[in-house]
Amino acid sequence: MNEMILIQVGVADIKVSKAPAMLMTNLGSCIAVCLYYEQGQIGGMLHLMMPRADEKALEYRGFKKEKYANTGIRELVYQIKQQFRVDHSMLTAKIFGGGRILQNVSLDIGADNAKAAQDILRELGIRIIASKVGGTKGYNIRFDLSTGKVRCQIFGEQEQEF
Amino acid sequence: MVHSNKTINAIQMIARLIIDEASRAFSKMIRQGVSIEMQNAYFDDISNVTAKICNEYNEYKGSVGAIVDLTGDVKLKFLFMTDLSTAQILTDLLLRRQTGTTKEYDINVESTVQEIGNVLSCIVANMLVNDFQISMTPSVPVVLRDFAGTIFAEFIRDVADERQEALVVESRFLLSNQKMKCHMFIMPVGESEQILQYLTFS
Repeated sequence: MNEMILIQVGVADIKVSKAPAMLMTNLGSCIAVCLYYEQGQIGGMLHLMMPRADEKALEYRGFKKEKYANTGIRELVYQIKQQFRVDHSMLTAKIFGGGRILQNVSLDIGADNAKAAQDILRELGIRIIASKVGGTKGYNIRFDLSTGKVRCQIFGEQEQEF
Repeated sequence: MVHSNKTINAIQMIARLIIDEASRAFSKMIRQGVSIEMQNAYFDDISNVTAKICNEYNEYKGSVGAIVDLTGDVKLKFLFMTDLSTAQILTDLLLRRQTGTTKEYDINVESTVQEIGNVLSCIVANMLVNDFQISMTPSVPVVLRDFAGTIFAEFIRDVADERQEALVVESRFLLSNQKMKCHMFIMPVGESEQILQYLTFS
């Protein structure tokens, strides 16, 4: 039996893999977009930070697509297609995170991130089959590529499976 | 971005001075001999840094952190982060109680972490203000109790907004007779590392 590979996904990061592998991350106001192709047990995770890259960001030399919902989700779809020849029409999505961790900040970046992620997935025609967003605490996410299930624990609460 | 050895040396030199000061002040504060050691000062991609912290603090009970913004001629972000059991030990030491008295996270633990964050960040600011004649003002520490990865992600957010790379000064705390897990992170924001390099070598 193959051993499970544990892959940590950092902030503004994409990881794409095939079972047996577990993609893991911790989220605050960021969003994790988990895309999965069930038949091939192939999936990927994007840990995005901000809703949309504006023109100024796009012109920046060190621009990183993974930071933003509008560029990061497309990049995740592209990487899955490049590595495993899986088209976006075969993928389903689950999204998590978007909490309001810093209470003294007036901007609710988490809610904006969640909305942007949902909009982009809708634009691409990728069905969202599960989501858990919002709140005021962090999320611990573990995405098992053998089953496509995501174990989500909000800090201080019981773990849930999606 | 490629950073010269000169920049990294400057940062390490300043970090050592800060950490020496912090060791002394922290020992006085809790009336125990505490040694704060610099583990590393390095530039890395924010994705790698955050993944590394998540791996290191691989626990589910959670951590407590105090985030302070230092603004002025040099902009820094400061984070003091510890796991829950260490925060409880520190609370007992600060309140001059027998260690083990504090059993859960309460207002005393939150205040302790906030106070330690306040004192240590002020030491950073004082050291830079006195030695380099610059102005710096610390904000009120924001205390977060959450997963370590979440706390660190919120800490790094301001830096990640504007670029892809972060400079992290990492340190750990050693206290005799106590098993402690706490770290202090200092991160320059914007062009601050170039200013620090200029200050060190001019």
